[in-house]
Amino acid sequence: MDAIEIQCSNLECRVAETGKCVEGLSFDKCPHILRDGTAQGAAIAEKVEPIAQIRANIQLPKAERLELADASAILRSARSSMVAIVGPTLSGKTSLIASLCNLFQQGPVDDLQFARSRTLFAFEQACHHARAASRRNSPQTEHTHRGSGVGFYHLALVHNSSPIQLLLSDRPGEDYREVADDPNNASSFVEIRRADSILILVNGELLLDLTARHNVRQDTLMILQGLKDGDVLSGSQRLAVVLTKLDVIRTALTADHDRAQRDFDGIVNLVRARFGETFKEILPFKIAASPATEILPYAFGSNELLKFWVEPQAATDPKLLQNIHPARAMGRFGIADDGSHS
Amino acid sequence: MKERSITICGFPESGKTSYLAALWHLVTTGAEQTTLTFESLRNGDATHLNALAARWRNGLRQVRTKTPSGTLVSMNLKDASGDLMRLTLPDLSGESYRDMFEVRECDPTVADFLVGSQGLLLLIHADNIKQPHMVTTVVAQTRALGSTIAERQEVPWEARLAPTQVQLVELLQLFCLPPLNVPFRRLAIVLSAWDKVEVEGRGPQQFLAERLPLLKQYLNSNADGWEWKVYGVSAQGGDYEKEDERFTGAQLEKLNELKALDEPSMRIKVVSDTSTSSDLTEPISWLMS
Repeated sequence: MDAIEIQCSNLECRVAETGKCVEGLSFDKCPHILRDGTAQGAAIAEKVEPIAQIRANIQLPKAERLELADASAILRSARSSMVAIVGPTLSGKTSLIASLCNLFQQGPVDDLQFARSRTLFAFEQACHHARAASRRNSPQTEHTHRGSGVGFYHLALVHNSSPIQLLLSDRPGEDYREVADDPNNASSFVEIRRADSILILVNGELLLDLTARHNVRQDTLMILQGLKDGDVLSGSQRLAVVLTKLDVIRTALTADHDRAQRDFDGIVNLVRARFGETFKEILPFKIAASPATEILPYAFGSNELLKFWVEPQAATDPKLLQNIHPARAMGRFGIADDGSHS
Repeated sequence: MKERSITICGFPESGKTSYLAALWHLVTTGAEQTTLTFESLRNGDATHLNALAARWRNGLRQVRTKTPSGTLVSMNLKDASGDLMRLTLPDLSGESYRDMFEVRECDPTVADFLVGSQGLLLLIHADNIKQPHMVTTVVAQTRALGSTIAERQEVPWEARLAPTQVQLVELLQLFCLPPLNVPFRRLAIVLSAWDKVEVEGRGPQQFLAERLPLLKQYLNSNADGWEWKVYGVSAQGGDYEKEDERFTGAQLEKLNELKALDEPSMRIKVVSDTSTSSDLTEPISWLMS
């Protein structure tokens, strides 16, 4: 299309963009059209240089989940850490990812500072159902839909003055569940092969369920077994066994709460016994990424995982991880520790 | 005479046009000491700026800039060493920048301005910042007030719902990425409507840290190499009225207090962490230095 240079002093008229007079008049009839910078009868006089031309808008980069090629480019370009987040459906993978961006929206996290992200849109979508803007009355997280394949969230951080790029993988839980049926299904799990750290999520809410609790343990072990037998583990990776939905466990009856905690400890012990040689290090974590109530602050425990990812050399004291400091974390969020059981 | 160009950027209603109006009044009257001073009207057309400044003096809200391509304005100014410059600033619509975030498109005219600029004046309405409030916090606060929580229609995600700081960080990131890849890295952040928030007792730096912490971290991290300063700016001194929505009562009294000042430049306040003045040219001068 030939470029035309035309403006209108009528602020309602978008002739510069559309080429059409808002009043439907031909250009020689419209009193507001500016020719050579002069209106015949301008309603509001504006000095306008003939700057507008009808040209196609410029497409800007998206900020959605990254494809493998983009993630690989980041991994090659800078000090980086790939984190594979593994777990069955509804174990809390997306909640955990969402909580990370939300944490930095409150301020620096310990000695970590947000630097940039190429996936801010994707983070925002993941956060939405826990935000007041969703007009929900309780938080919820969209789960990654089956068939969507693997995607990556990007967080560039500054840790003790050094930049580090984190890439967090996101894959539907069904895909991971299927490696327990056939380890060959793991062959396409590029995120596991490349991962510096792997998280296996243990659904705390299901651990409270008398019927489901045994399958939770078995699913965890079988997924790890499938990854091992699928030959996608490098032997130098670190594993975090992460109890999710700690807020639900905290609000359970004492007997149920204690049993769930014991179950989780048992899972960690079993993982260590069976896969101790497969991973460089195995550590337990307990988180409440998106608590349904204020019993725990939002993203509780997510900061410890961030440290785990960016400090691969310094093994975190397991005792510290098991006994998360609620008073300190709650204080930061302006919530008093209610002294309830940990 | 040197040709200089800076981009005034901000989302809708962030105060870009008010800043321009007050700036033009300030330099043309010369009533206050400023870093950049008025030189002449030669080789220009001040129609747009004069119209804006007249509305500003009358205590009328500016008409929103609607077309993305906006209006180019130029000022012949003199710096502290007496060097003459022709400063060009685009009065672009906030929608242009909103579309960059939400629709991921940039009007080519806006792109032209950006890549031809020496610096960026980023306006953020200090009293209109969308915070990332969590459902649990809002529900707990509602219960604490003894109110009941009504069932509400869930709102699906849209980019426009993103917190202000996320939108700002993303916008600045986009400027630094292809295809825009702007050539400048000087950024003056103007927290507009400062009169609304200064009673809270924070300086601009502290305000940024507490109300826009993601933006502050992004800038501090130097990930994109921004060299930045932050100012609290009250370009009007208070609320202005519309022709079809005239103030009454206390609002009218406050507006009349502003109009009663002997010199309209006295309505202007520019606050940094080290000084307070009415010099709206100071951020611009720094951007071009």
